[in-house]
This record gives sequence, structure tokens and C-alpha cells, in this order.
Amino acid sequence: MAHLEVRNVRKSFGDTHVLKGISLDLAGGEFLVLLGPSGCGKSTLLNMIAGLDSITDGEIVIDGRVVNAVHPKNRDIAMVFQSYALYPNMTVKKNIAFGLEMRGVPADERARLIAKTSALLQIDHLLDRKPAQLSGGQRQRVAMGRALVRDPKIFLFDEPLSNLDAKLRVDMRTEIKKLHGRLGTTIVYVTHDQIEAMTLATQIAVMRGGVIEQLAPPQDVYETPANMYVGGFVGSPPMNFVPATVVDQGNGLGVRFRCAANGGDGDVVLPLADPAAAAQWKDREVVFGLRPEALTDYNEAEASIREHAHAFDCRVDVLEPTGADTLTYVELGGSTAIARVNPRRTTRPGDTMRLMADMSHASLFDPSTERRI
Amino acid sequence: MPADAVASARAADTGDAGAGDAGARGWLQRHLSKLVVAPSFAAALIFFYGFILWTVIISLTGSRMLPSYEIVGFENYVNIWRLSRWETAVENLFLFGVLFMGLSMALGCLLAVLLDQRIRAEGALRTIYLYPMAISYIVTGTAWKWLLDPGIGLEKAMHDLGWTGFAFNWINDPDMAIYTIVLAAVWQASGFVMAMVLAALRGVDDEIIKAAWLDGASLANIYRRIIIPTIRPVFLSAFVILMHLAIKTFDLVMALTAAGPGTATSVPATFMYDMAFQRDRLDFAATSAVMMLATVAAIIVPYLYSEIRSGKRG
Ligand SMILES: Nc1ncnc2c1ncn2[C@@H]1O[C@H](COP(=O)(O)OP(=O)(O)OP(=O)(O)O)[C@@H](O)[C@H]1O
Ligand SMILES: [Mg+2]
Repeated sequence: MAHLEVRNVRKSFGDTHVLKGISLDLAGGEFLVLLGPSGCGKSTLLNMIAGLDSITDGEIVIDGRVVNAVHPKNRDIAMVFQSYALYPNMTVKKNIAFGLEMRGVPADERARLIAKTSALLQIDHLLDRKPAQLSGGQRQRVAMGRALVRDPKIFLFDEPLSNLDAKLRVDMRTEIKKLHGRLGTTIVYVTHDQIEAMTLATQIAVMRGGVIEQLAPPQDVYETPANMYVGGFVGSPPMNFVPATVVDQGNGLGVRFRCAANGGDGDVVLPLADPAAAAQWKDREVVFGLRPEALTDYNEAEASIREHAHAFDCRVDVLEPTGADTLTYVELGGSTAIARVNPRRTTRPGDTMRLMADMSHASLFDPSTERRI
Repeated sequence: MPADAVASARAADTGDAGAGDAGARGWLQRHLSKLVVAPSFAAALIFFYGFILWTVIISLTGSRMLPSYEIVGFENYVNIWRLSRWETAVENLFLFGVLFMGLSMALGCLLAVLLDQRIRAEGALRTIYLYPMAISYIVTGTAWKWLLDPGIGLEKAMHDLGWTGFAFNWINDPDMAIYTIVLAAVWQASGFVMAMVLAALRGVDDEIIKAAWLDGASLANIYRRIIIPTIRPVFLSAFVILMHLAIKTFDLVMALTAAGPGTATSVPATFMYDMAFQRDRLDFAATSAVMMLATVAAIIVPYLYSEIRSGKRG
């Protein structure tokens, strides 16, 4: 249960600036997921926290102590690598024991800890095998065992599930979550899978090009993305972005955009749930962001309960059934948007259907800076 | 006319192909690869294995300058040990082999580990260390002969610089001359060991080493417990290659010391040459050749066997 702080950390390799000032403050027991596309510097940041890479500028603080100059072995951190990095010449048992042995833990204590850890991860029957004789999922467990057995202050995971097949990934995800619940250790976890991020994290840091775009609990990242990048990166399918104009609407404000319906082309105005926030943007261009599940088929009963649900007509371009919902592609304000529609209420492509937008889940972005308004 | 010619050619072609499977051409096609390797196979059979057999037979005869075929049994294999020359050669081989392999391995590994620290100009250094391997032993031997010659080499250079007390005349000292051969051979082979070991070190996953750091291992422990066991097959290969180089050493000795002073630096290969072409004892030459072959085979055959077996498993 360690408190981890990263203060304005930078990393350059010669002229390439990989991390451009990263700051984090993570309370003990939190599960932070670093989420970002390939090459954005996630592994680099993790390596710097572990002490495996030098820090160009800034500080890393664990439990109030600056650890920049502390050797990795003295930071009391364990890491699970993407390649698992098991020692190929040692059996599973020796792999798990190696860290204990290097720290001078006596043999009987080692045996006890190995037994406990291997029982926890259900790898007792594999203890005498070499890594080459294990499957991917088993190797993953051994790698976790090697980290767990030392009972470190902080766990670092670098894309631990990306080499597993889809089914195993879901299982292991659940197990990691359970494990965190049981151990309560501070965890920093790297992934570029946003479902993994949403399910595991207590905090998500969305990274791009060496900066953190947003650091917030998963639900906040999902519902109130700090900018269009985060909105587009988190969520599948991503947030819809509709170029629109803020206009007067009744005694509040609304967003107006073009939308084809019933064989013609017309304007749709949807009233904003929180007009005060957009007051300065009246008569100006904005980007109106709406999650696909906030754009659904019209349903009278639901429309009457939800205060900010508004209906409009729109022509359907493409249908993509997924089973639970049918993803319905429409054109709003000249860009493609996706609605999640009940499969029993779809129409044929080219037809007009009545959609309902839940404006309490709408976001507005500045089109030039792409930031949230 | 040309069109006609093409048409008839095509007709002939298809006709041939139709009958091809049964005809001479089909036979050729099926056996072409065998035919192509046949000459080299035959050459190998005659010139390698044929002459090995011939040498074995000669070693069992009482041949002198010219081969004779009166079998005397294993007499030569007993008598050869009565020759002090052969004894010197075997002792030298043992001394040379142990030192050469030990030092080349140690130096090669040291260089590889140092080069593995991601230093600048690694490419240039690697090439410099590897170059000696590209030189023939004759050139190495001649160059080192000049360097070690007290009248023109290192000793003279030191004297010219003013250090007149400096003495380095191993090459003329019957007790020390063998070490000059070790020196030249190590100079030549350690770069090769370095290249092999460096490649293997680079093959070790970076993340494994990072994991070991986090597990609290010291650099010495990382090498001892993880890296060296992981790359052990490479040590075995390097060892086998050095070993057979050591046993076959001939040209280096001839160029550097000509097996002298006296016979102080003779090795089995120079012994064999001497017996065959200078002393008119073809029987002893053949005997020594067979014994060298047997020694090399005793090392290489188990190695190849284990390689092939692990290849099948892999
Ligand atoms: N030694 C290095 N020298 C120069 N640039 C490097 C070095 N190591 C990493 N980089 C660069 O730093 C950037 C971030 O690398 P990093 O490995 O942290 O990415 P990542 O976010 O972990 O990506 P992925 O999801 O693919 O693992 C990359 O653009 C990479 O090219
Ligand atoms: Mg990475």
C-alpha cells in the first residue's frame, strides 16, 4: 500500500522527447491504468518507476521518499512484463524463488511462500517444469507468481495479457481484479486495450505522445472526456463527434446541426442539458460529442421519464448487427455517427427512423483546441 | 514461317510433356538433384573416406618412404610412443590446447561482456577484434615471428626506445617457444569467440535481465545464474570449434617456429608432416594421422549427435 507520486517527469533519448512532463499522484491501494496507443511512452514511464531507465528530469516519489537514485532492487517494486521474461534455464519453482533467494530469504521460508503463491495462482502442478514447457496462460501466471511472492509495495504490469487469446484474457482480467481486491497493493498497469482499462482501473491515465491527456476514474474518463482525443480513444465504438452550432432554444441553448431525413435535408436543434456552461459559445461553432448508447431508437415510455431525452428523425445509412444492439450509422452535421439501436426496431438502410438523444450525456468541445467546454 | 516454327515447337513440347512421366525426361526430372550432387558425393567418398581408409591401412603396415602393404598389426601404435619426438608433440598439444582454449574462451567472453555494455563505436571495435580470424594462419605466424624476433621485433623496439634491459626472447627459448604459439593463436581466435558469445548475449531478452534487476540480483549474479546458463549451447559450440582447431594446428607452428627451436614446439601435425616427407616413415605419419582423427572424432561425433538429436526435438 504505497503512495506513488510522479512529479513532472521527462525522458529524452537524444533529441527524441518521449515523455514530456508526466505528473501523477496515486494513493496507496489504487489501480492505475496507463492507457494509450503504441509508442506513446507507457513502457518508458513504467521502466522509470521501476528504476530500469534513467530519468531525464523530474522526480519519482514512493511513500514520500525521492527514489530517482535508488537502485531498482531497493525500490521494493515487482513487475510483470509483456514477454513474461521468465528465466528460461530455471524451473517454475526456481523462477519464483529467485527474487527471494537474491534477497537472502531462508530456504524453509522460501518453500512456504512458493507453496502459498502457487496455490493462489493454481500453478502447483507446474512447479518442476521449465518455461518452454508451459502454455502462454501458464507462463503468465508464473510471471505473476514471481511478482506476487515478494509481496512488494508496488506492482507494475506491462501489457501482461496482450499475448493471450481473447477468452483467456477475459479470465485473467477477472483474476487480476480479484487479486487486487484481496491484496490491496498499489498497481500501475499498462495496456492499450480500453476494455481492460475500464474494467480494472480505479484511475485511468490516458496518454498520447508522451503527455497525460486525462487522469480520472474510469467512469469520469468515459462520461466527461477532457478532450476529443480521449472521447475517441475510450469506448467502443468511440464517441460520436458532430460539428454543430450553439443557438438559442426556448429559454435555454441548443446545438444545431444538419441532418438528412424524410427525403430532404434539414436542421436539427437539440436543447442542451446544461446551457450555462456553453453560454459563451452562443452562435459559435462547436463539436458536439455523444456516446453511441446515448443515441438510441425513440421509445415513448423512456422519452417521457428522461428529462433530457429529445427525439429527431434521421436517414439510416448502414446497419451493423452485433447481437445485443444494432450499430446504426447515420450522418449528422456532415460526419458519420453511430447509434446503438434495439435490433427489433431497426429500419432498412436509406429509410428514415426516429432517434432519441440523451442530452444529459452530451459533451461539447472547442473545435480549435479540441478541449472540453 | 516463324509462326509455323513456333506452333510446331509448341506441339512438340506438349507431346513431350504428355509422354514425359514415363519417358527419359521424367526420369531426369526425378533424379536431377541426385545427379547434380553425385560428382561431389563421389569425390567426397574417394578423397575423404577412401584416403582415410588408406591411411588407416598404411598405419597398420611397415611402410617406409613408399607405401608397402605388408601388415604388421598395431605395432606402430605401440612403437610411436617410444619416440621422444612424438612424446614432445603430444605434450605440446596438451599444453597448447588447454591454454589456447582456456585463454581464447576467457578473453573472448571478457571482450563480449565488455562490448555488450552498449558502448560507443561498438561496430568498429567488433570488426577490429574479429579481423584476425579472417587472416590465414601463415600470415599470423609470419607476422608474430617478426614481432617476437628479438633482433627486429618488440625487443629491438624497446631497446631503440632506450629500455636496454628489456628482454623478450621466448621464441628462441626451447622451454618458452610453445607459449608464443599460444599467444598468436589466442590473438587469432579470441575475436571469433567474442563474436559468437556477443551474438548469444544479444539474443538474451532484455526484459529477462530487467526482471532479474528487479528481483534484486547483482550484475555478477545475473551473468552467473541467468545469462551464462541461457547461452550455454554457444559455449559448447565454441569449445568444439576451438578444440578441433587446436588438434589440427599445423600452419601456425610452421610459420612461427617451424616446430623449433630444435623440435621444442612440434605438435602431432608437424610430427606427421616430418615423418611423411622428411624422415621416410610413412607408417608413423599414418599412425599419428589416425590418432589425431580419432581424437577429433571423439569430440565431434558426440557433439554432432547431440546437435542432431536436439534439432529433431526442436
Ligand atoms: N532507446 C530508445 N531510443 C530512442 N527512442 C526510444 C527508445 N526506447 C523507446 N523509444 C521511443 O519511445 C517511444 C515510447 O516507447 P514505449 O516503449 O514507452 O512505448 P509504449 O507506449 O510502451 O508502446 P507499446 O504499446 O507499443 O508498448 C517510442 O516512440 C519509441 O520509439
Ligand atoms: Mg510498451
